[in-house]
Amino acid sequence: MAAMNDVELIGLTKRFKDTVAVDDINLEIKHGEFLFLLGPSGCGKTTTLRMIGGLEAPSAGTVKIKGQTVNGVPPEKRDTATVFQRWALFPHKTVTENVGFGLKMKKKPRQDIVRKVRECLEMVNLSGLENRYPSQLSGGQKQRVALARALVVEPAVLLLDEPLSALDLKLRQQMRFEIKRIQKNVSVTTVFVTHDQTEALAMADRIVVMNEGRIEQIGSPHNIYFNPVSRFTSDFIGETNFLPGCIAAQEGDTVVVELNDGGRIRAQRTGDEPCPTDVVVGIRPEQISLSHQASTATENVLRGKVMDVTFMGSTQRFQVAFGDRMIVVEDVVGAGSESCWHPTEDVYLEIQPGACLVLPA
Amino acid sequence: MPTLNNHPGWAVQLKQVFQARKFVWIFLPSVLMALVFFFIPVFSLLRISFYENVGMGVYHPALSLNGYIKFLTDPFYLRVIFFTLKIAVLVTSISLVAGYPVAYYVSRAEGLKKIICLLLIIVPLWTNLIVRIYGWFVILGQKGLINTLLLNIGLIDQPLSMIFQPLSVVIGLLDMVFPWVLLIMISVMEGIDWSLIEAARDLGASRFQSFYEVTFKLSIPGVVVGGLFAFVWSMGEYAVPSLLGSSAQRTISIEVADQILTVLNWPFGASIAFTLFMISVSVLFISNRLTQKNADYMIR
Amino acid sequence: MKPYSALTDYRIDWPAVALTVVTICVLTFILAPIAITMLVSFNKGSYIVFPPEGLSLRWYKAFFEDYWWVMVFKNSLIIALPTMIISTTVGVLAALGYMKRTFRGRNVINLIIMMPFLVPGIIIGICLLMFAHRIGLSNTYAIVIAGHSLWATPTVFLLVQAVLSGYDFEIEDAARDLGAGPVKTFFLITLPCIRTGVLTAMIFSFITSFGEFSIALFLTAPETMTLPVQIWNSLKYEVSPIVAAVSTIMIVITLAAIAMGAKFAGIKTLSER
Repeated sequence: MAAMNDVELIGLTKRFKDTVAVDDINLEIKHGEFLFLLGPSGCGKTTTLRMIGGLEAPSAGTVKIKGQTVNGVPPEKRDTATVFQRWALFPHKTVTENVGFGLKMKKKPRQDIVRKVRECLEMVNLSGLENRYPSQLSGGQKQRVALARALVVEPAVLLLDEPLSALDLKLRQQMRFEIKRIQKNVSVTTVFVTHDQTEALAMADRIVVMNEGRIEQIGSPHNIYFNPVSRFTSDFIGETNFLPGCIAAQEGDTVVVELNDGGRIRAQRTGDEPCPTDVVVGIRPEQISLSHQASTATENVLRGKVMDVTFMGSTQRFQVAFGDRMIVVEDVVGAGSESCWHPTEDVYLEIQPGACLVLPA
Repeated sequence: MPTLNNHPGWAVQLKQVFQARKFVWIFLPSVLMALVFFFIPVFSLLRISFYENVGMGVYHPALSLNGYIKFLTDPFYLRVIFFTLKIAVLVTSISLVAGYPVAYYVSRAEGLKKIICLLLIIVPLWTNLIVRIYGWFVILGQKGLINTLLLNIGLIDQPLSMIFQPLSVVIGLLDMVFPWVLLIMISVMEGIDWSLIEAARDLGASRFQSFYEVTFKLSIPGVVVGGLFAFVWSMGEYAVPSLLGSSAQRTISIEVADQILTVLNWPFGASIAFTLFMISVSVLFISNRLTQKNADYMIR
Repeated sequence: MKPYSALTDYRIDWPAVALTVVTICVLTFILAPIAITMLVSFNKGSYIVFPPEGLSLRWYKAFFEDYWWVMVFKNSLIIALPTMIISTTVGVLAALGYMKRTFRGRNVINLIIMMPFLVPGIIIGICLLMFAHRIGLSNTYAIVIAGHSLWATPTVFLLVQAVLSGYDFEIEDAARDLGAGPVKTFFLITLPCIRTGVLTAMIFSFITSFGEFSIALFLTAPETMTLPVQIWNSLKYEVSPIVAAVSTIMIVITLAAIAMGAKFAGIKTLSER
């Protein structure tokens, strides 16, 4: 029997009055997987998460946990535990009482609860704070209590709803590492909702990119970053320059695109579009390098004018005028010398072969 | 326990506050008004309560505690106190028990439903009490709504005597107290973060368990504050017992009014009034302390 | 966000039904006297009976023709209008100061301002009665206005606080930064922004005073008697349906006030505290 799917979403849909928040989602989540639901605000990721946890009832479709259909099963009877965006710690209970709450509801014996709570607090590095109240804790500590509270009940599926969004940057980075470590240790199937792509790219086993209630793309972080299949994904993840053009020729496994603003690009072929088809070529800023000299190549070199240079620390960002549009280029700063580029200078953009994506217009 | 004897403490704090920044002068009118028309007259009341009564509105300055002693030991007055307390406790309990579900319902209602409910609470709140008492006259009277209805249906042969009874006093006080208690409890319940209940359910609590562990426990301070206010107001209310009660239903407030307006024994009346004042103030302080504590731990 | 919309979809919601029933009962209870009073005021007969024997406006006519009732009504106005002005001014200033920032002693100030309202009304009536006697203001309009202002200011204080919770005090700093002095800032910036709050406060301080009984009972003389006190007298000694007509008029005034207040400030802010 293949590795068990801990969660299955089949045709999952949610409608609110006249909006469709989640539109026909189909997803399988393997046991022990750390899956991310990534997308902009309002894309339906939180709603999907809540439907897995039982906090929202689907308008259509099925949710299965460990092979059992759980439609109609209330949250307290589902084997899921949620870490909420604002942590939802009970203000009138101590840390121990908060973390032990789930076990108390399951009517576990007192000694067991005490022991498990202590272990869990150790795992999240919060030993010693057992008798504090949430109002006496810092943001990072509250975060960890919420996590411990969810983990101590040993759920089949751990659900996290943007738990790091209320923390400041340094703390967020620290917590990402902690959560990833804990998840690996406990090996619990985890679904993490976020709008922050850095988080997703750093922590996920698999990412589900969502937009307007639908799944745009599913894949590993590497896959999503380097092989986006749609304009949305390539725009949302990292940064992309979009250059409109038209397919001029298809040769083997590559296509040649004539850009509207001049120049030709050779890129991997992704589909079977006949020529001429209107397409958009996506190029990431870090995949372009600048050169003073014209190149002999007729493909994958573009000519433009440097309009602005911004020093970013480890890189430089260039705004290069190309036809009517601006191309953003990010190039590594050479050691020692200052920038050798000046505005209104002519420049040649050299694009790594294989770095361009041809996307439907 | 902080009482009026704490006056010096407050005065010092006030002075500090006024000297601290110019901005604080904005409070001058309100504090002045409270001082001149409330605190000083109350102090005046206290002084008069120590005076000797000579009769027919004449009294001598003195320092006697006779008034207090009489009020707190004479069996007649003890009965009055007991009766007042009994009624107040009854009204408070009913208003809390019946009001809690309503407050819960309204705090969880949405949109139009909520607005209508709030309106239905606000209207009696601002309608003056005397008018509402009159309404109870019509409802409870011999030829009033309930009697006429029951007679017509044939459930009773003779009109029920529902007015000028302890019952009518309790009803009148309930009517007065409900809107306030409801609003207090509603506002507390609205402050409870609903994601806490979701969290509880998510962790395995049933509907009832999550209600008890989260909503109920967090709403207790609101219930207590509401209860304390209901208690103080029921105790001190004059119009309701005087109109809806017979002469057999004498409350502390009726005694006071009597002594001051009819018997003209101001010192004695002042003693009773001051006792009532002290009870109210103590209750106020207790509830203030409680809301402080509650505010502390609701800060996330 | 809507509280767990799914969690009540799971079964027949009998607790919710019970809740609804209790709520309806309680709300009916507190509204019944008001509704009944309005109905009875149109009674043709002269007893407090229900159902009314026939519809007529005769008691309203009687009210307007009765010299005594009209005088009492006027007295209530004479007292309520100055009270409205005083308590609104004092209360708005206090609320502005209170909400602007936290400072040591803020809680004390709150207590001082709120205390007159939280203590039973007769206490204030009695205290002021004795006080007035000492300073020679007995039986005047002035002392009643003072008492009512004292009673109404806390209400204004709370109401304006609720309105101010949506007010950004930083705009005052911005105005000062741009060169406006404190007084100019107040009249050009603060006041216009809290306009609706001030109007609402005026409306409600008016009806608070207009309908106030306990304090008025002690402080008014026959010449300065107010409407609630006269109604009380009526109920105590001779009851006539004129009282119903008067009461209905008062109810209508209150309803109008609430309607105006709701339009200006919204229902939420009216449920103070």
